[in-house]
Amino acid sequence: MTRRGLRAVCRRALPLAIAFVGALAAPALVAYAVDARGWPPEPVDARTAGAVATRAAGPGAAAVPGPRPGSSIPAAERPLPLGVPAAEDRPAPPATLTIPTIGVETQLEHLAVRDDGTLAAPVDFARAGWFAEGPAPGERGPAVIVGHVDSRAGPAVFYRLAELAPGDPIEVTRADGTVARFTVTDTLEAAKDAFPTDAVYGPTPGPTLRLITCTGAFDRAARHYLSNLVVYAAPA
Amino acid sequence: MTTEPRAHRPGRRPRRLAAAVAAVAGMAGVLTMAGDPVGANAAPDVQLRVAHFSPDTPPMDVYATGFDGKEQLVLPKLGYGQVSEYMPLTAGLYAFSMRPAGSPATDEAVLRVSADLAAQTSYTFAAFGRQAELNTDLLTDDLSAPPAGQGRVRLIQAAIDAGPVDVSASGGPLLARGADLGDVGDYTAVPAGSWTITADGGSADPIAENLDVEAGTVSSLVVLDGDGTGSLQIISVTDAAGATAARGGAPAGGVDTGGGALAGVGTTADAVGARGAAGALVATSVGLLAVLLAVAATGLLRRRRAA
Repeated sequence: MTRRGLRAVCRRALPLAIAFVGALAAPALVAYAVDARGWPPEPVDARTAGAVATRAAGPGAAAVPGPRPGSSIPAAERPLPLGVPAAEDRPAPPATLTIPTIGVETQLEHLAVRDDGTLAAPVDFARAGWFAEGPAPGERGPAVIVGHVDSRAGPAVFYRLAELAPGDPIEVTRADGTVARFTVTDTLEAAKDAFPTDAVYGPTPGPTLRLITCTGAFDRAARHYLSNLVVYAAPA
Repeated sequence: MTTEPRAHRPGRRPRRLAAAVAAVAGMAGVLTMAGDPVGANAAPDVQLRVAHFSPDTPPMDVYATGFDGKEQLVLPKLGYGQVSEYMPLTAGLYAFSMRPAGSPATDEAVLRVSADLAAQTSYTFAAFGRQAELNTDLLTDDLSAPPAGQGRVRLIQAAIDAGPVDVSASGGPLLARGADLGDVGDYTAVPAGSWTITADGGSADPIAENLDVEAGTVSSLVVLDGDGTGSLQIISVTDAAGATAARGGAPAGGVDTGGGALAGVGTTADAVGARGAAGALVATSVGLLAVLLAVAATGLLRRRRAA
């Protein structure tokens, strides 16, 4: 091959090579961008104050029902029955919680706030608990279910909660045998000393569900985790 | 605390939705403007419901047209005094149209309105007044949490026969004074409990209704025309409800849900995080390599051209 021929090939081939590498890099970068937005963020440093949101999750974010990507008017897929509110009136209390994606099937304790105003955690590390003073799953407002991430000995009921991603199904079977079905919409990690109370317990127009466990750094002196993980779910 | 209703009177504020009532001819413009390719894949971040407050207008089918330009039936048969549930939407420009319930979608719409919906906002799209002079308004619903032990209540004056209406909770706050058709008050904090709400219209007989305000809830009271001439009725709609303890407020702070056995030994979360970090490293390396190659190639080409 002549010098000129080689040069011509180079001239043609180099941009092609660049385009090829770029084509390779682009999906990788996109994948990175998606991954960077996803769960989980870096573990929270013990000294870090303030809420650490895995996504843009302002106070209003909690009230947003399940995302239906690509669908401009989801209601059209299931016309809203007027006169029959989407929220149920006084549904039976929840009895069991099932989350197939992470192998959770647990009976539910009934939880209340303690004298200091904080929500009590379940007594049994292997069971989750429902905040019985608030809405029941299916009732208007945020139903709150809490579970331990670990015990002093090993994993607890919500050990794998961080693996949940939008779209994952959650089922709550009530005392009367009826089932309330939800879909994960979002997750959020927050330092306990900057807990997003309004985004978790604040008013929502329809029935919603929040699952809470611990995450982040562990304060060995006080024997508790410094952050909470909150999973948001909306009716399926 | 007294809250004067804001003047949401349709007809007085042409810049509001009333101004946006689009002629059928204008719809083509709306539909092309509605295109928002970014919004196509965004999660819903707007909530909108529709309220029918026009006493002589029959039940309506409500249609919506979003960024895809396709008109869809979103609420079948919305009758007088009904307020739909909120539907999740993606922020952006929408066109809403109404046809008498059961009419074919190809029929001429009775009403067409466009609205630019902002992210992280809840709206009530309400139709007020007689059918002959139907007005619409896009209300912004502040669904934020009330103070501990209280609910938040607002008043919507939708009775057409009443003249200015005063509405108050007996022994409690005044919710509206001299409210005219279409006036909407700000949400007012009301202590949880049972209240007697009285509505006193200029030309209508005063009425009293019982209202249970639950802590942590947000609701709208609507004054409507009653069955008889010159009569009023009040309906209550729960806009949103929160999770509050029996003593009133939401639980304080976070929850202690861990014994610490697995702290720092690589919880599932850490493992997924490591995977994410590795992916990021690979992606960044590939990206850097591409940039380096591009720079090198450009230099090479230039040098060759110079030679």
